Amino acid sequence: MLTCKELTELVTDYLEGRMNFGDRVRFRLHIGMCAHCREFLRERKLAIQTVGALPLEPIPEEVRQELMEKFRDWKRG
Amino acid sequence: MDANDVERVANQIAQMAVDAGYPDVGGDVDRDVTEFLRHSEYKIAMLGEFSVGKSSIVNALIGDDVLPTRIEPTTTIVTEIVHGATEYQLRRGEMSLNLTREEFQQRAAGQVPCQPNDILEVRVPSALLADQTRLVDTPGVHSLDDSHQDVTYGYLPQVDVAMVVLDSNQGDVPRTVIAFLDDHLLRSDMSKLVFVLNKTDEIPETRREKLRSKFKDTLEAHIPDPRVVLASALMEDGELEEPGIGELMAVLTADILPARRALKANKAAKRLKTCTAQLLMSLETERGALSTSPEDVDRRIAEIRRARDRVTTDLRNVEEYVAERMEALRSEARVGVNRMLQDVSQRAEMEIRGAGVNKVESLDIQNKIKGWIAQGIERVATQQLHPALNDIANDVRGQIHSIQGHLPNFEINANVKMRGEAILDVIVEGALLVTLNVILPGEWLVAMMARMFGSKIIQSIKEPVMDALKQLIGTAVGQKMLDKVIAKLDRTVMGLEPELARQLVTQLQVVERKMMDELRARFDQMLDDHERSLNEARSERNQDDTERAERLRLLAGWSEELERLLDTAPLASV
Repeated sequence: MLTCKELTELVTDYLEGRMNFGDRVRFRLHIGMCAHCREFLRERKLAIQTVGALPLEPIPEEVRQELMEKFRDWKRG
Repeated sequence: MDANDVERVANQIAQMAVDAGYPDVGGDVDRDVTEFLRHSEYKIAMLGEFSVGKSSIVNALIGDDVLPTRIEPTTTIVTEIVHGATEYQLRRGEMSLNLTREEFQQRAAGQVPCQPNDILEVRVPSALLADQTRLVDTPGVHSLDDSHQDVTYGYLPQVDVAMVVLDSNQGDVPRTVIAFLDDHLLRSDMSKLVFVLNKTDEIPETRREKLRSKFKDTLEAHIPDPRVVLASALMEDGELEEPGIGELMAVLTADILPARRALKANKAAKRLKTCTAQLLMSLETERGALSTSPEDVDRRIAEIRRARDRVTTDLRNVEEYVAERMEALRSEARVGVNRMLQDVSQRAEMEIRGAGVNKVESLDIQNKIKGWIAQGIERVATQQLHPALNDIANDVRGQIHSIQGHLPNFEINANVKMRGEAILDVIVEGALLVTLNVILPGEWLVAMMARMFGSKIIQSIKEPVMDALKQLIGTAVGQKMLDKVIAKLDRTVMGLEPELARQLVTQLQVVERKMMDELRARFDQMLDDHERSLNEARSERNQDDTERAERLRLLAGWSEELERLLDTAPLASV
């Protein structure tokens, strides 16, 4: 069985549909047997839904500039 | 059924997955079960008064005189013996310290003081303990120090087998042991007991069986069908004196340990069954998605989303129903606790009136009150709450079936749908049983209550009771004082009601919440799996229909084999 730790690392792949058949079955096997991970997955889905429901707001120019600076530094650095 | 049968089936499942080209999947199932089997231990505890020869019996059982056999009644330490290369350790919480044999023996004999929760652990090569069996030597019951009793009583719910060692020279079961059985033993612990009549080498052979009958008759008045075995752990010239420990060994190896092993194998088989059902459901989901044409995928997904809404409403109705039933049950629990405490209070009054000051002066009455409360809570849990919870669970199971009727048809054919429902049923049943188990054995609750309230009772009743009774008992004024003291005792015992009731009600609320969470999560996950598989199937779908047909064929074969396993022993019988 996958360990709970391994499962938490695979959750994003699972939710984004980036798993092959075998991994999907293994993931579901663990979820079926482990109430804690079921709860973890449920919370994750809820968080995605909640964040997804937030309205899109334009980024203020000031913040945009600051982010651009950071990204440039990051690329250089 | 034994553990080998279960492991064999787990191996078969692993092999099926290898054959299908997904070895990791089968490996997961196999590992889960073998690890479960590897990690569950049996505990055999030795209980008894001092000088009855508990440690000698332990030494004889493992064939090594590792435990000092002339222990002064001052030690409160628990010694645990396991199979392995010889090693001696002191465990204190998370820490452990290696000891030499001599250092170990000094601690076991109380010559070097230890802390109250320290545990000594010995590893020795032993055929008896080789199969994950742990032998536990506890301090004597009713020894000079009453705190020893707490160590012993606290240990009982955690063990699989409890050997109560008795000295056959006493002629009959001592009063203190009977008091222990009457006042502290929980019903759930009764089947764990084996009474070992030790030192029978000192009894003429012709009288031994008579003596066994006598002990058995006395015990039968307190517990059903007690097991009494004759033993002698006395060594003479390196040999055990007759009758030795042959009978005890035989009872352990032929009767008790196999029964415990079967129980463990049964638990492992249940786990394997749930795992297999889960795997099968996953394969069916994938099959359903693969056999849906690309044009139909969106229609199916829309169906699933509609079903999700309906299931949400259905579950809300179930929740309301459960909440109503559980509220009634919580009221019953409160009444049960009140009645139980009144009973305890009355028994305590009778004890004090009957036996007078001496009863109160020792810790005896307080220990008895602790035991009665523990037994009382067990009665409330097993006789009142357990049947009612089972009843609720049955009703919920019925409602689950009707919710399943609202689910869209994912079946490839009608047969698959029926099997799918049966699998869901297995899982839901498992989920309900898990939640019910929170309260059913109630052992931790009982132990916690006894610990928590025991000390409160001691503090609140000891001083006034002692002072008053010492001075006045036996006089007319004394009788009045006695009444006052008893009234105080009554108030103290009844004062426990709010806390006890709160604990039970909280437990019931946990059960209710867990059950509903579990149902919601299961249904949600099932619908989510279907939707996800449909999406995956669409994105994975290429033009090659031959490849898809091949995969469908493979999954069908795999599913069929899993179903066959679920329908045959040992999985079919658990």
